[in-house]
Amino acid sequence: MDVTLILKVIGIGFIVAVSAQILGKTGRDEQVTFVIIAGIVAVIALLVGEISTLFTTIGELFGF
Amino acid sequence: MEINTLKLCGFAIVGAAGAMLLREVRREFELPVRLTATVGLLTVCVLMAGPIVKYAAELFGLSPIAGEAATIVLRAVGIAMLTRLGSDFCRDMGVPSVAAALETAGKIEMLLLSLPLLSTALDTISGLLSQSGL
Repeated sequence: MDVTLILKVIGIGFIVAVSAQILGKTGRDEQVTFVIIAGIVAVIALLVGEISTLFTTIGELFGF
Repeated sequence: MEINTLKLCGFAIVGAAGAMLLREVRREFELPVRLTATVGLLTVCVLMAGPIVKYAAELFGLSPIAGEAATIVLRAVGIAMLTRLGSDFCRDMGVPSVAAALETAGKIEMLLLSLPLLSTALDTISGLLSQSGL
């Protein structure tokens, strides 16, 4: 359990939200989609390792 | 790893607050925050449950009858936990059909795992019945 991980995810969310707002206001709507997708991919890349650790720990605990 | 309730509460509150804020700003990022908080807390739960599971396995090992069943029971508990976690993640992501399929797969795997126990029980029962002349 690391609080920095959840803060990273929240930070990425806010950065993406602000970037999307700025890009939307300046009329670059097609780039908004790419920014959102990039943000989601970055967050999922952070999360995958943690989910893998959780599943491995459960597997080791119950003798898989 | 030192864990206390205060840290767990702080982690849960930070996750809940972040999810609430991001729901207002950009809904797409609410789910990852919720997932991060859930995964973090569950990892701590599993780490804390480690000694309890090991103690239960030792207790099972003391009994000669239950000794061989201990591994199967523990593995069944592990399968139940993993499938429950996986199906909860799938439901959070909005795909309940995949969650239901995963739960079914877990149930079938547990049934397969417990087949040797079932056959042992049936052999015991048939042995008892034949001894009593029925």
